[in-house]
Amino acid sequence: MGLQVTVLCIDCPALDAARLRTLGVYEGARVGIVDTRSGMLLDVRGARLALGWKVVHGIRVLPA
Amino acid sequence: MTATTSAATHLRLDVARVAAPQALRVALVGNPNAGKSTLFNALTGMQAHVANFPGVTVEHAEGAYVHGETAVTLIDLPGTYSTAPQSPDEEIALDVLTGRHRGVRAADVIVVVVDATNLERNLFFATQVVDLGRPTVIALNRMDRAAAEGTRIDVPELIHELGVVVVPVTATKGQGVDRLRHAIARATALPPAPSRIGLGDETNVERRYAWISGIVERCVARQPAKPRTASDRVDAWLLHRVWGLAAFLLVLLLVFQAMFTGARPLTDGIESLVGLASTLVTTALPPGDLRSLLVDGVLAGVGSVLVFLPQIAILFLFIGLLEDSGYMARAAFVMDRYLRPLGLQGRSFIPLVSGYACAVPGIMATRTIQQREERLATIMVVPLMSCSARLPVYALLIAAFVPAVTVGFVGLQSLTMLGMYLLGTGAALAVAALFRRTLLRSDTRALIIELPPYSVPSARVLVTSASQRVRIFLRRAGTVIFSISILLWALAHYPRPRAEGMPVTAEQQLSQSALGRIGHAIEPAVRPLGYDWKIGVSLVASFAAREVFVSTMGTIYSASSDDGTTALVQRLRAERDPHTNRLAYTPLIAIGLMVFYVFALMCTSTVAITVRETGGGWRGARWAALQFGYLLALAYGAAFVVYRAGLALGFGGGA
Repeated sequence: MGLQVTVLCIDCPALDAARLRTLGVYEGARVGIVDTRSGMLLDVRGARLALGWKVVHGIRVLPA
Repeated sequence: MTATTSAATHLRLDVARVAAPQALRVALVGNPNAGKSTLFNALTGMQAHVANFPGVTVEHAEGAYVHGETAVTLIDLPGTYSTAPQSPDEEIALDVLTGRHRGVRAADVIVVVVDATNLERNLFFATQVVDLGRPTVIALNRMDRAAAEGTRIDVPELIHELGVVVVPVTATKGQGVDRLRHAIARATALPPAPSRIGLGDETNVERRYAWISGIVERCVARQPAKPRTASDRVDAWLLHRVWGLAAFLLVLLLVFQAMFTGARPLTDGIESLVGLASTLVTTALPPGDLRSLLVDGVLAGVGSVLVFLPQIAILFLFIGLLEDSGYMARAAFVMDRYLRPLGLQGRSFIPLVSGYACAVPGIMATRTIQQREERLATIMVVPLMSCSARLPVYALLIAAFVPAVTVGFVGLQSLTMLGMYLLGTGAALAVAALFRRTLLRSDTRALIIELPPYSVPSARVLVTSASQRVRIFLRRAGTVIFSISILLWALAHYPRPRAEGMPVTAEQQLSQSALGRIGHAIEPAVRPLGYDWKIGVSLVASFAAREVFVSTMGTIYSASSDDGTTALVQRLRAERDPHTNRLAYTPLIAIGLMVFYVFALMCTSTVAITVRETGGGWRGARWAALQFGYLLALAYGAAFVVYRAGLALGFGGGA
C-alpha cells in the first residue's frame, strides 16, 4: 500500500461529491491509498479519510 | 499548581462578574477534532466534554472569562468542514457564526481552531471563515505535536499570507492561551482581511486548495511524511472486517467486566455508608414518622440508587476513553459494513453507542447524520440501547438472582449484563431496518469519515468528563429520586390501617396503604408477566425515570421490613407470595423484568428530546408518541414471551 494517485473524476451523488471535495478529494488532487481491505483508507494531505465502498466506486483515479 | 490552573481558578471566580449583554461574543469554530473543546476549557477554565470523534459537540457549550477590561462570552460550536453545511449540527454552527440562529446574536469575533499537524486540510475551512469578512483570529493548535513530527511553521509569514492574526497554542498544556486571549480582545479593532477566493461556488474548491498549497509551501518546513504511520499499523488490525469486529466485541466485554469487578469495592463502601447513616439516624431520633421518613424513605430510596454510582462512573470513563483515543471513529467505520444492509450507515453508530450512556445525548448526536430518514430511524431506536439509568435495575436483579460463578474466565453476572446490552442493540438494529423498509424508506448515504490519529487521552479530561456526567446523575438522585422517594414513603405509610387492638405488621401496613391499593389495582395488568403488585407499583413509578424502579423497591421493602435494615437484594431473594408461600421472585421473573426494561421507554427527558429533534410541535409529538408506543408494546410482548416460554420449559423455579 501507499500508492499515490491523482483523482480524475468524482461521480457520486452531489452531496457526497461536495463533502469529498471539501475534505481534499477533488478532481486533480493527489491522494495516497493506505488500505483497501475494508472500504478505502486514504491519505489526504496527511489526514486519514475512510470511505465506504459505495462512494469509492464513484471515484476514478490515475496512478500519479 | 501550575500557572494555567491558577489562571483557570481566577477566571472561574471572574465568570460571575461577566455581564453577558455587553460582553464580547466570541465563537470558537474549526474542523472536528481540531482541539476546540480543549481550547475552550483552557480559555474559560470550564470543563466541557472533549471527544475525538468528528461532530460529537452537537450542542454548543458557552463559557465566560475576563481579560483585562474585556468580558468575553465564548461559544464552542460543533465541528464543521466548510461553510456549506451538510448536517443539522454544521448548520447550527454556521447559523450561530453568522447570526442566523434564532435568538442568538452574531459573534463579534470568530476564533478558528486549526490543527497544526493537519494544516492544509484545516486551512480550507479557516480561509472560508476569513472570507466572511468578520473579525477573525486563527488559533494554531497542537504546536507541540507538530514540532515533535519535525514540522516548523513560519507564523509571521502565515499572518502575512492570510491577513489575520494567527496565534500558536498548545491547548492541552495551556501554552499560548494568554496571547490568544489578548488577540481576541483586540480583534475588533483590526480591519477585516480581504476576501481572496469568495464563497458559495463549488468550483472554488480547487482554487482554494491551490492557494492553500502555495501558502503551506511558503510557510511550512517539514520532514518527509512516513508512508505508514503507527496509527496505520494499528488500523490494519482494528479496521479489519473480522479482527475489527472481534476487537470491538472484546472491548465491550472488557467494559462490562470492569463495571462489575472494578466497581465492587466502591459499591460496598457506599452501601456501608448508607447503612451507617441509617443507623445514626435511627439512634439519634425517637421512633416515629420523621425517623421512618428519613430511614425508610430518603435513605432507602436514594441510597439504593447511589450504590450503583461506581458502575455508572466506570461506564462513562470507558465511553470517554473510546472517544478520546480515536477508537470510536474506527468502530463507526467497522460497523458501517454491518449497518448498511439495515439501511443505516456507520455515522449512526456513534449516536447508538452514546445511547449506552444516555439516550438524550445519543439522540442529539444524530445531528451529524445528513439524511433525514436515516436520522429519524436512528432517533427512533436510540432508546433501545441500554442507558446508564437501566444499570441500577440490571445490577440489582442480577446481583439478586444470577449466581456469582464464572464461565471460562468471565463471570456469569457480567455475561448476563452483556446479554441485556446485546439484546437492546440487536433490537435497535432490527427495528431500524424495519423503519427503513417501511415508514422511512430512502437510499443510504455513503460513509465518508475522517479517522483522527490514535492518541493517549488525558486522564484529567477523562475524569473531569466522567465526573460531570456523574454529577448529572447525582443531581437526579438529589431531586427526582429524592422527591419520588418521599412521595412513595407517604403513599406507603398512609392511610394507617385500623389497629383494633391487634398489632399491625409492616406487610399489612404496606398492603393497606395508598401505595398498596394502587399496586393491587395495577396487578391484573402485570400478572401475565409474573409480577406482583410491588413490581407493578415500581414499574409505574419508574415511567418518569428508570432508576426510580430501584428506589421504589428500596422504599417498599424498607417499609415492609420490620427490622428495616435488611439489604434489598436479600429481601428480594427471600420474598414469598402470601397466597402460595412460594418464592415471589425467581430468576425467570428477574430475566423477564430486565427484558421489559431493555425495551421500555421510561424516561421523560428522552420523550422531550425526541419531540424537539424530530421537528418539535405536533410533528415531533407524533414521532415521540410512536416511539413510546412501539417500545412499550415491544417491552410488554417480550417480557410476556420470556416468562411464558420459561414456564413452559420448566424454568419457573419458585420453591
